[in-house]
Amino acid sequence: MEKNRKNKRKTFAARQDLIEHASLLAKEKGYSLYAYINELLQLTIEAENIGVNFRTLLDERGILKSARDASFILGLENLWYDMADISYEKAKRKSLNSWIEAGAWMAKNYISRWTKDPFSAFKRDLKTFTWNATELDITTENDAVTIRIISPRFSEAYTILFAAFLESALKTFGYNQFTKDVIRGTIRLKAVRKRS
Amino acid sequence: MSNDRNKRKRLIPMPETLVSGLMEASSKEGKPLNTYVEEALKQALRLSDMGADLRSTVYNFEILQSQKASGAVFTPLTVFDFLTSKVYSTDKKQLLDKWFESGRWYGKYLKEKFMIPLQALVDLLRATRWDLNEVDVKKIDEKIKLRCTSTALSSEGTELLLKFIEGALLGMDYKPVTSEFMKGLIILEIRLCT
Repeated sequence: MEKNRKNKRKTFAARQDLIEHASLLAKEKGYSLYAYINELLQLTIEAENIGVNFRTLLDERGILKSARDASFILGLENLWYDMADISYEKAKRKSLNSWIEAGAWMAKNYISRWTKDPFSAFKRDLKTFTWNATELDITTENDAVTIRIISPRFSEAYTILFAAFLESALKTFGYNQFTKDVIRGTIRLKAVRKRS
Repeated sequence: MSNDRNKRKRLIPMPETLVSGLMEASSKEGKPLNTYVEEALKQALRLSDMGADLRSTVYNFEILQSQKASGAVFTPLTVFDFLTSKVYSTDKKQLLDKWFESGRWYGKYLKEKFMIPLQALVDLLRATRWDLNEVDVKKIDEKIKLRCTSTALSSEGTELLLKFIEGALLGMDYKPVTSEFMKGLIILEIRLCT
C-alpha cells in the first residue's frame, strides 16, 4: 500500500487476472475500471455490516424469485396461523381442499418445468420456503420419501393443513402409499411410490 | 502461463476510507487484507457474471433477513386467497382487527430496525408483495401520499392490506389524514404525529 496524501487515496496491489475480469464487466456496465472495483469493494463492506458475505448472497439471492415463481407469498406468521385456524374451524373440508389444491399445483409447477429432477427442485424450495419450521428433513431412499417437520409455533389447524399440502404434492409426484403421524407442531409423512 | 498471469499484480487506486473499511472487515474475519480483498473481488465478480445487480442483491438480502426476523413466512398464494375470502366472509371484523394489529406491530419493528421506516415499508411491500403492481410514496408539503395498485388483489385482499398498512403507519407514528380503497387500489394520505 502506498499512500497518496494529496487526494487521500491509497493504492492496492490486486491480481492481474481479477483486474482483467473486472475490466470486462466494468466495460459492459459503463463504469471505469477503478470506479467499478471500488463499488464492488464498497458493497462488500456494506454486506459485511449486515452480517453477510458474497458467498451467502450467492446462495440466498434466488429465494424471493423462487418463491414468486412457485406462487408463494410472504406474510406474518401469526396472521397465517390465525386465519388457518378460523377457516379450518368454519369450513374444514373447503380449507383442506384449498391446501390440497395448492400442493398439487406446486408439484405440477415443478414437473412442468422440464427440469432434470423436478422432485429435487421441489425439495430444495420447500426447505427454503419453510423457514418457520425448527426442523425440516426430507430423505429419499429408493422409492420412498420421508418428510419430518417440527415447529412448536405451528397451530393445530396449520399443522393439519400443511400436512395435507405435502401429501397432495407427493401424490402429484407419483407417491401413492402413505403413513402419517400429524400432531400439533409435528408432521411425519412417509410415502412410497408403488409402481404397477 | 496462466499461473504466471495470476501471480502478476496491478495497482488499483482506492479512497482511504474504503481501505480503512476493508481493513476493519478483514480483521473481523481474521484474514490478511490482501487475501480478504481478493476473495471478495472473486465472489463479487462471480455474482456479476451471473447477471446479479450487486447493490440490489445486498439490499434484497437485508429485506429477506428482516422479514425472517419479523416472523414472516411463505404461504401458497391460492391458500392465501382462500383464507382471505373464507375468513372475511364469516369473521370480517375480527380479521380486519388482526391485520391492523399485525401491521402496528410490524410498523414498530420497522421503526426500531430501519433509519427511514416508511421507506423500508415501501421497499418491503415492493419486494415481497408481488401481487402489487405499484407502491408509490410521495411527500407533498407536510403530507405524505402512499398509493398501492394491483390487478391481482381481490376487494377483500385490498381492504386487509389497507388495514395492515394503516396499522404499520400508526406503529411508525404516522397518522392517516385520508384513506380510501377500492378493489386493487389503496390511496392514503398521512402525516407524522407530533
